[in-house]
Amino acid sequence: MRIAIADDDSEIIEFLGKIVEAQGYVYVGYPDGTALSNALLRDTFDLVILDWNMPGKNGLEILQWMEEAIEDRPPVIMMTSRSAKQDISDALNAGADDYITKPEDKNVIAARINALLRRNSGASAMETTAEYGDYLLNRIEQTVKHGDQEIALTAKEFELTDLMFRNRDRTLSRRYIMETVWRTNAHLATRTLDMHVSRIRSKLALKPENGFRIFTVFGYGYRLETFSNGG
Amino acid sequence: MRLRQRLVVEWLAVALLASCMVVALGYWDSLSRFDNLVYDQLSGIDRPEASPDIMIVEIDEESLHAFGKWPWPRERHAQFFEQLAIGTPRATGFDVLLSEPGEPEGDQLLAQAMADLPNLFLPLHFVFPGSNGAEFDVRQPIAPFTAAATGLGHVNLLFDADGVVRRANLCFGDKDTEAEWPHLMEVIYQAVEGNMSPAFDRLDDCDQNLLMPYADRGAYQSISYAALAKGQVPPAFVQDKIILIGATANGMGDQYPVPLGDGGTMAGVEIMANLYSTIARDDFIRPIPLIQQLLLSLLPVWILLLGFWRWRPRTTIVVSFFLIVTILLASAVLVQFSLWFAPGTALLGVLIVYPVWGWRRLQATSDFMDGELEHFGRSKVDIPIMRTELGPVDVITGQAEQLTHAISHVRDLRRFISDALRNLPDPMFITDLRGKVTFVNRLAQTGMEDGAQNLALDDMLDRFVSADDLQEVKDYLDQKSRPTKQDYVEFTSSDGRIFAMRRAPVASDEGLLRGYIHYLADITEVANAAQQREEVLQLLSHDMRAPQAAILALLDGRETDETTSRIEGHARRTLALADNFVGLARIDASEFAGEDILLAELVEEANDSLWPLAQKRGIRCEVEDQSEGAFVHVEPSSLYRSFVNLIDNAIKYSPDGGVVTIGIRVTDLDGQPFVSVAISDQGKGISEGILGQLFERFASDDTMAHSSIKGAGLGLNFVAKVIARHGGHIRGENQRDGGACFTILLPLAPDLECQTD
Repeated sequence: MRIAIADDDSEIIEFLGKIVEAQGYVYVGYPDGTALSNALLRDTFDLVILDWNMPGKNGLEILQWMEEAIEDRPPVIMMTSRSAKQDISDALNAGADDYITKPEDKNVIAARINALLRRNSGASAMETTAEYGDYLLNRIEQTVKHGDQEIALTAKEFELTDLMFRNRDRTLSRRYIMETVWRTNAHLATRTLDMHVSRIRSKLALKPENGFRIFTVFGYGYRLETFSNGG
Repeated sequence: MRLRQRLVVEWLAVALLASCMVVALGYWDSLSRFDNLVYDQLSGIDRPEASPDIMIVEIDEESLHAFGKWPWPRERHAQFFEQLAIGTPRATGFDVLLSEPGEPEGDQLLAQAMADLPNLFLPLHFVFPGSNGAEFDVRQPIAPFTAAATGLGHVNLLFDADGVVRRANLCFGDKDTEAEWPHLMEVIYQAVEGNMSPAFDRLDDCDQNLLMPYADRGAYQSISYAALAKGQVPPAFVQDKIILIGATANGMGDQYPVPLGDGGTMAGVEIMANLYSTIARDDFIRPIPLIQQLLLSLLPVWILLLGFWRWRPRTTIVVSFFLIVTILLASAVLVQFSLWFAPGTALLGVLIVYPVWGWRRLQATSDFMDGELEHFGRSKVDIPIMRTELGPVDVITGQAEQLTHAISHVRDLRRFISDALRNLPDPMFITDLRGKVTFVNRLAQTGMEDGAQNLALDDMLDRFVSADDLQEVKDYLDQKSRPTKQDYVEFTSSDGRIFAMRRAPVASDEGLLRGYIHYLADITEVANAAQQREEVLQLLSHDMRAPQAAILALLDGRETDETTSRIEGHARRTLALADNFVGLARIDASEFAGEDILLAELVEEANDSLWPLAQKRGIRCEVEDQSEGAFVHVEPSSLYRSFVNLIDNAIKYSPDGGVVTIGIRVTDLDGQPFVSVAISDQGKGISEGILGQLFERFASDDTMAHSSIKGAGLGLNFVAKVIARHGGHIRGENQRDGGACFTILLPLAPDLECQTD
């Protein structure tokens, strides 16, 4: 896997580079937007980690340029110090596949990178059962086991749980979830989604202690994060 | 009452009144005197010829002169009849009353002469009132004459109310005895023709009156009694004639007013001659039946009444005139066909209904104008209506002047409003309900091309608003009800300026929606300033955070020791400071942009984010959620940051291995539903010194100043501002068993949607 990292701060490139290499991937660093966009025209990458505020083209401009100029563009993680809600939803709506606010824990960054590469390498065939940490999902019976404890879920709750586990560490838009689980795009029942997320959070006890946490990206969607360092 | 309804009521009243009046007048024949006058004139247009079969023998001045004073001895008449018999008349009517016996000798002579004259008829009289309380007495000729005559007939005259003889009754009946006496002329006719006259045959009852047409006075052939008696008249003169003998001399009193239109009189015998002619010609004029008379009288009135709705007053006058002429013409024509239609009631109806209607209409209009003017004076216009003092004029003129004044006042008002609108310091325009622009003020006009008036709203927006914001503006304008969240829309105009557009409904005086006023405020400078401020904030936030992120990234690769962990702590504090600082600045600058979220979820996530920190020191944070899915309408980022600050504080001030309790439940405050979040720790509590100014900027607990954990001075201030911005409340206090407790109340969001699965 080849990963392009663009950031005007060399410390950050080095920091991210170490994380990437620890996962067994190769990376190339670019100090500004122009250098990155030139490289993207000539070279192929499996993932791009993009800073927002850079000399030359800024991150958002590169994102928009990639949408138009690069055919079959690689997934993009926006990684920036800008933490305003508006910035996050702007970047995600402009086409970024994920958004990480600096500073972030290296394990979290690694998990998010892997989540995107996992998706891009083609989703593995659906297994009848899947194990995520202490959670065991049975897709035939639509049940979830947490350790020894069997958890009763409704059909929609299971579908939502399954969707979020399969896409762990990825930010999913509300729209994507509504269309996938409820097969509707209606804005009408937006509270329904909130209520379901709340229910699976409490039913499955998705807490850092249990290695997972649900994170709301306000104005955009949800992300199930793995907590590999604790638990 | 509206004018239209009032007029309908008035019209119905006038129609009813006029109809009743016409029917009543017609039924009681109240206008007979007028009708008689008309009749006299109309019947004079075409008088019948005098019948040549009739010869009148006049007892005239000459006869009186020749034979002396009246009454004459009976022998005089006897001699006359003998002389008359020589001429062999066909029939003779002797209109002289012979009801008292005279000299027996004379009576006998006369009776003999009468008997010798064939077809001699004598009159009988009725005397009103009769003797001994009877209605009338029948006065017959004395018995010898009665026996000598061929027959008797009554000669009563019928006088109309004006004393004129227009009618005749061919038969006189006594209701008590049921005796009936035909008229002398009818009796003669029957004797001459051998059958009863057609008119007599047609009589509905004996006493029926018939109008008879008169020939001109003196039209009948006549000879003097004296001339005939002296044998000066050749017998051929009287041969085969119907001889009517009667008094014509002025002094004899047998003269009656007749409808010849000249007010003059006619001798009774000539009236009889006319009657006989009429019987023979059978051309009595019959009054048309009462029902038809009434209907015909109503017809012109109703033509006018219906016409009132369509015609102008002048037309109505002309039509009235034509109707009057038509009624008279109809009467005249009908008389020619021997029918009598009394035109009086119809004429009176036509003459009265128009003025009455005109009066009622004027009254209704006047009342209506009065009401409208008063209403106008009372209407809630800010500028009072002045009533002018009027000179002494009539009410209607006064109202008209008031109206003129009101209209000119409205004109002034319009001018004033239009000037005021036109020169408003901001652009504005008005649209009607169909989306047409009806008014554009000066500034809005210079904002675009001239002539925007009468443009469709969409076209105007297309020209004025930049393409990017067009949809947003249209969405705003499409809102049917008053917008709830945002009552204005911001857009960039095609020439690059930024406007805030707000609209207000325009209502009629009765409160009906008529259209909208759209105000445009040029906020280019303000918006640019806000934009710049936001850019500065973003830059500041980024530039303050970026080096700290770099420091943390650098430390990540190193062995952890006392120094690195202290550097990391300081870097994280600086990050928090930057976040709080930028957060505070944003709160002061930006508009509230909330969304509905589950408060418990937000608190859980804030808590989850601090888990590594708590876990390091063995502190447990327990969330007890009893809020049952309570939604709040909030700005999630700033609220999230507030809870992070509060829980972070609680963890910081907790002893290692302590417990932080976070209780969430629904409560109410002054009747309004709220969600409360109580965060309590087991630390030392808040020192008394700062309890009062806990939420002020840069307040910090000095007792902790020496320790490695230091509060960021902006944290609680930020939280307090955020909570206040959400319409919530925050309270910080010490629990009885030690430890601080922060309680936050946020208003519950209204349940807008159905909870569906």
